[in-house]
Amino acid sequence: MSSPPPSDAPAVHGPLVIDRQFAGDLLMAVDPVTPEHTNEQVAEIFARHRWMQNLPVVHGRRPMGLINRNLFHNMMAKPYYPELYNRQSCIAFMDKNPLVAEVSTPIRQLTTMAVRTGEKVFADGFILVDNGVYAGVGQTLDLMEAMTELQERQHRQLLESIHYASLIQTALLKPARQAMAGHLPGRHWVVWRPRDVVGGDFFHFVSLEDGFLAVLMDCTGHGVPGAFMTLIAQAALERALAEHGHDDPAALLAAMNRDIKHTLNQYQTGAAGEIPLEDSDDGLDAVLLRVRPRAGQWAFAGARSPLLRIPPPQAGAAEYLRGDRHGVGYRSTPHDTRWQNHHGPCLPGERFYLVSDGVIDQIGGEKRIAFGKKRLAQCLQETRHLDMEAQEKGFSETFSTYQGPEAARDDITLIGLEPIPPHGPQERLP
Amino acid sequence: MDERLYIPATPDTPEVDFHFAQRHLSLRGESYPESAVHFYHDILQRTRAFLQGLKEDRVRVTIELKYFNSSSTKMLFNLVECLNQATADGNHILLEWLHDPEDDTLLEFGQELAEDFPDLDLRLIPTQSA
Repeated sequence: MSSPPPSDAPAVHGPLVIDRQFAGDLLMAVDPVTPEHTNEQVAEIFARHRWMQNLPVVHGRRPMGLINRNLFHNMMAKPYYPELYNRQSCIAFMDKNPLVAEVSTPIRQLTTMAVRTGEKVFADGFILVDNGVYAGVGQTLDLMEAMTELQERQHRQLLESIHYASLIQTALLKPARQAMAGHLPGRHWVVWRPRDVVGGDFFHFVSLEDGFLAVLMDCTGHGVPGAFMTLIAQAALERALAEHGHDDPAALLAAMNRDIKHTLNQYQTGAAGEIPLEDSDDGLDAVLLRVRPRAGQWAFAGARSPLLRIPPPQAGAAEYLRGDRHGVGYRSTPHDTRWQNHHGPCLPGERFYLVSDGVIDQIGGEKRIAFGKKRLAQCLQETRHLDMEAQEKGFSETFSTYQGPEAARDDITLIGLEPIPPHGPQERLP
Repeated sequence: MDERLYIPATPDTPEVDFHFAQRHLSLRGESYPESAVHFYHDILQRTRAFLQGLKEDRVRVTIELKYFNSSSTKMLFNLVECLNQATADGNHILLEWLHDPEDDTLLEFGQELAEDFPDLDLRLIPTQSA
């Protein structure tokens, strides 16, 4: 607790107490007056202590009210008031309903009380009591400072915690990035931007003897809950891979669905949509792409996610391959849901893009509407002659121009892959 | 009966103006609250109670959402499912799905709703271009 300011000096705040948590931490000891004091005596006290803005009045050991310096002087400056009131009790100009708080009141609660007290609290401050017994006064500016400190501290703690979580999430994505770099050097790119430092978008890449498997998962939620879901999803994917191998994307989705429903105990209960508030209903959208370049084939399965395919020049226009409409793991997705594999021939120079809905649904542009699939396909089609690195840059510029000042609505992931080099088999294939 | 449910819009939740007495429910804005289940729980319950009290009635529902996240999507499905049920119970429910003419994402979502709920009188309405 701070010590009382010296009686003949202007108000000085003691050394800043770093950890002010309770009303008592704002206490300034001020000798109160009693109803026996006259207004003349009060004037003298105010004259002697120029720093003093408010003078508390007590009855016995209980607070009675607060005399505000300015108000008091304004009254006493009126014609004949000194003559009339000088010898009368000081309670004449006292505020009978000041804010009174126990020293044990938490800062946050005191702030609420101060706001409810209204405007006068800014000038008058408040009286502090210890079990109802007068203890001292407090100033609203000190209270605001303490509240700001408290919020800054809590905010910082939260951010530090999320930043640390981000280190973990980034580390978990590293093997996939390394596998991509090793398998498709110069022929891939990844834009991964969680909205809130960590997020619910997650990707996986497995380098295989005859090609690769690329997976993008967009879990419900973002931030911390989204990141939790990515861990569950990744574990489910690992188990599915161990059980079904890498060649059947649809089977992997089905296995993940069963796994996640089981892990989170998400089975349909009661009528649709009437899920108790405390029960989870989480899952993910996903796209799985298996490519075998030497065999010249790709297989894809999607859960509420498309795959964007851009054929080499003169071999057709960009197209979205639609995934199935069931999400993975949700209550409304039956336990035995099956997804479909889509197959096609893989051509030299052909590019594939795995995209999360954060890209497609981002609001922006003059009309403040979603970026959209069409615009995405157009942007990637127009830049398809560029090498992968330049194309990534092109996309990032187009997207951020479109987004403009709009906040990111969701986590954003876009992965570009070119399984076979444009000049075909003469280059060494992985 | 519940007369009206009104919730003003915030940056991440839509304006909810369910004028039950006038048989007009409207939802406008964006929807990406951290917990869509919490935001929509009460809204859905009151709407269900309202719909269950109807008998051969007509209701107009206007939805104009510019953005909704995946958990809000599920809540929207739940809402439309309730409307569909009310149709099956003998009421006429008009669902106006408003979208910007250039917004293919919103249009597609509306088309999917139409496929999933063929009994609803669902109209995809392009909004006026600015």
